[in-house]
Amino acid sequence: MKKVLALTFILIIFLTGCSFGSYSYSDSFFAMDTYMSVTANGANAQSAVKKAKKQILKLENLLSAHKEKSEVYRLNKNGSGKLSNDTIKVIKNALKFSRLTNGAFNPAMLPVTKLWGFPDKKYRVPKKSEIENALKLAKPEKIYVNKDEVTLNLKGEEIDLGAIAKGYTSSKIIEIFKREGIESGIVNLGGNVQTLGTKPDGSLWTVAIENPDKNSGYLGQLKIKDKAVVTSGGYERNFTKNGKTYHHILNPENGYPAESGLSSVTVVSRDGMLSDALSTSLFVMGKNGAEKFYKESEKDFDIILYTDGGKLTVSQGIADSFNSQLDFDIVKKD
Amino acid sequence: MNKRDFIAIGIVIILSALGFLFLNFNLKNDAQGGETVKISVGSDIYGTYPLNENKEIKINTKNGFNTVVIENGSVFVKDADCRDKYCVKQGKIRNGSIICLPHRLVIEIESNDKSIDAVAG
Amino acid sequence: MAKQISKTAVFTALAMIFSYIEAVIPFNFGIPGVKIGIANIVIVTALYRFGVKEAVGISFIRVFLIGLLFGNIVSLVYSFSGAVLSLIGMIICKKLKLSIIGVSAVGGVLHNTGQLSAALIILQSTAVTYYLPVLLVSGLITGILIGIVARQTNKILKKFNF
Repeated sequence: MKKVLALTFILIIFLTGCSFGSYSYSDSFFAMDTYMSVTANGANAQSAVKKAKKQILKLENLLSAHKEKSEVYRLNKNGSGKLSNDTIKVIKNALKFSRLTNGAFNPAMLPVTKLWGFPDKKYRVPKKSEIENALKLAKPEKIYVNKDEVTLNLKGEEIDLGAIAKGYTSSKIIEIFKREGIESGIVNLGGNVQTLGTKPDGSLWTVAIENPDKNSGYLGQLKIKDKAVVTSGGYERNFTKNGKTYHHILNPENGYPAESGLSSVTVVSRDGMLSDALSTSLFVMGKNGAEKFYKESEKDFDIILYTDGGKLTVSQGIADSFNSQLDFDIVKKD
Repeated sequence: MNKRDFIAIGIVIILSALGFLFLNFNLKNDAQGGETVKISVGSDIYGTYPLNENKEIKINTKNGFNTVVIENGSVFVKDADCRDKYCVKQGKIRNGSIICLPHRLVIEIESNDKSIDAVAG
Repeated sequence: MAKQISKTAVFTALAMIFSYIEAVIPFNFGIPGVKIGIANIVIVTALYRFGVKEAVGISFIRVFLIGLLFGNIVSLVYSFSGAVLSLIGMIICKKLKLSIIGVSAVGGVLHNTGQLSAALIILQSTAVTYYLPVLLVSGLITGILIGIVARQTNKILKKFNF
């Protein structure tokens, strides 16, 4: 009898040990104004995914510019305030990316995006004078960070971390996964994809790049590991008035939707925040600007550019891992 | 436990596996034809439909209704009573997803080969 | 007769309590659907102490009430499919003069097979097939464990002439 018992317990430990290794857990839910899914593989998958979800909801309540009671909302209302570690980190990074991209990334555009009605979806085309006035407030260099305190130095200045918050969140989830002992996982925060390690069977993750023309196939497929893939394009959110389509990525220089000839920009890097911030800013820069930025930048990232005319360009670092039915050019670092 | 037990257990496990594979195989045949449309409301799966069969699906969520149409290999939302009607405006899709945020409705096109892990965009 | 009914009632209550304990304190294996199924101790014991009719009765009442109290219609269908398949298997194996542990192991495996088949048909998704090996093995192990416990319980009950 004792032998049988002992044997059974050994069996349990042994067998469940195996099945744990191949175990996968995922959860999908709505947060940050989009649909998210989080998948972890490994023994601790369930608890890791639960912690990830908690983290997402926590960050949403800190970083959303549109949620009352969020830290960013309060900061915009009061013009200054003491903020949590996470929010400070994201603001600091936003300001860093703003400098890095010479203003193509601008976290202080909220007064202008509000004029266009993007946050509350009450779309309209503002008057030129309105835009010019609002643009005077869109000055990231007037945002001061002092330890845990942030001051917006222009009256009426407002920040929106939307173009970087999801990237920060996905990187943070990957950190949680690692802390939980997860070696394989994938998060998709409404099209912001970040992967950890490889798939459980050791093969690379396949991430498809959405086609701005949704009625045709994907732009291509990317085989990656440990990378964040973020695509930005005017197709994601837009409205049409008098036959003209206005999209949500505004050019910080003139306050109008960026008409750079690009239809979508994908940035691939190890850092979710870098991918997120650069995908928006490179979209604003246009094809030539984006290629130039890629060539000159010391940051480690790769790009996929898709123009309005349907021309596809891929940077050299991912050219071999990118698979597409379309022809594509390869851009190299000098 | 004796020999008879082990034989019986062995038979049951094999039968289970076989029966299951049989069901599984039948199901795969049903869903043949490349891609399926998966519709979920919140975190619950509402249903899956083959992309190559024309169909109109009326979905009543607790937040409102959406009428989803599968037609000639693409999917679109024909009508909805949400505020921004963004789901309707997205038009026909052949890949990726349509999401109606106010109704927590997600329409995803899934390829049967399951080779794609995520879509960036 | 009355004595038999009250005994069956006690067993049903016990099965409910076990299900409740498992619902409140899940012995989490990290895999959705994998449970020890301690309520099955009662079913297996009943099958041996009382007989087929009583075991089936207790099992169905338990599934129905627990589904009503803690579950929804879908979980009820899952449990019911598992219970039916598992009972059929156990009754046949008992007739074939298998040991109580063997009977219980077969029941454990079939319980999971039944549940998973129901999930496959309801969800119309082949993704659940992924769980099959895990559930077969876990069903076997929990079935054996439950068999061991049920055997001891049976011995004790016999002593007390219950």
